[in-house]
Amino acid sequence: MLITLIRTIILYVVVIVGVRIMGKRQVGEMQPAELVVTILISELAAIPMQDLDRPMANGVIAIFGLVIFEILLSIIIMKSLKLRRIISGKPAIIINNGVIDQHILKELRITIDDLNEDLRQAGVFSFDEVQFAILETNGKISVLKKPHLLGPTAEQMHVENKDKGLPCTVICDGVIEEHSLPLVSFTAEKIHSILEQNQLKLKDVFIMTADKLGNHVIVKKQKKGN
Amino acid sequence: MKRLWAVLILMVLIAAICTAGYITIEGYRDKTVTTLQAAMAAANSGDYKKAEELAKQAETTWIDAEQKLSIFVNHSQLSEVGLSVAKLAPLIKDGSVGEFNAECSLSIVQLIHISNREKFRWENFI
Repeated sequence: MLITLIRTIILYVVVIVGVRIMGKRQVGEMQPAELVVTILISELAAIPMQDLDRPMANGVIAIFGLVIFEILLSIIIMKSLKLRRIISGKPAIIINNGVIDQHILKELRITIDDLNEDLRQAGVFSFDEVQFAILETNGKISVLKKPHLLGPTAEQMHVENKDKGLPCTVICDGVIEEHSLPLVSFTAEKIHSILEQNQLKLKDVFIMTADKLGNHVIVKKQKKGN
Repeated sequence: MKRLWAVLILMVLIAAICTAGYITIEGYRDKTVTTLQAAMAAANSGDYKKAEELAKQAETTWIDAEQKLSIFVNHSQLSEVGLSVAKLAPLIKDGSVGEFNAECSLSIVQLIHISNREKFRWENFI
């Protein structure tokens, strides 16, 4: 039993290292080849975890072997457009100039319900709002609304939009995030004075975000029983 | 670039582990098979004492081998050879030459089988 536990821990570390080496893209938006590698890695890790008869090296070598192939393939794919098309496929235009391409839908085996769902997730609730919908190689749908439904930009309206910078969390669960302070030009003293103005103590703050312009949002901790 | 270095290190590590595994398996196979063949020859020539000594030597070699080979080979396969080799000394002590020879041959075949599975052969790929 203890051996199983130790093997599980080791293989867990191996899988984490493998996925980290493959890169962050692996987790969020997987291409077909990456999905295959991820499924295979989970299977490969499970076998030596459960079967104590098998040497763990078999699993580890196979996992790292896949990681190597995946990285090498991604490098080759970056250099060769032809291979990229073969391995990852190419984006497909599902709605072209407001017209649903039914042949493409059939070819890709996408039902109208699937399309509806994906459009809703993209913030569109009616087909006639869409100018273009493109099925990306990672399976996600990108939507461009019809021009008259797009809001005007600040540039089009000749309005100056001040750069707020990146809003950062400056207090998280009652603790000041020191590394975020320089990003929003805040200091610990400034935070304490803001808290004082709001009659709050540091430990009462669940989250506080701030931006470069000095705007801030404070969310108080919920008291037990609330 | 860091990722490429990681890949390179992993490739070297994998190559090292695979080579080490292959060499270790081959080394222990040769050592144990030679001892077992010598034990069979001694038993067949009537030198039971020498055959028993060689059988014990094969057992000791295998105990050492099992520890190292368990990193590369399925543990059940190693146990099978271990059980077979462990029978040899008592068999020759009892004077059961036929059974002794049979058990020696079985151990040799098992060892060859283990080593063949790691060889760069078409049969192993398909």
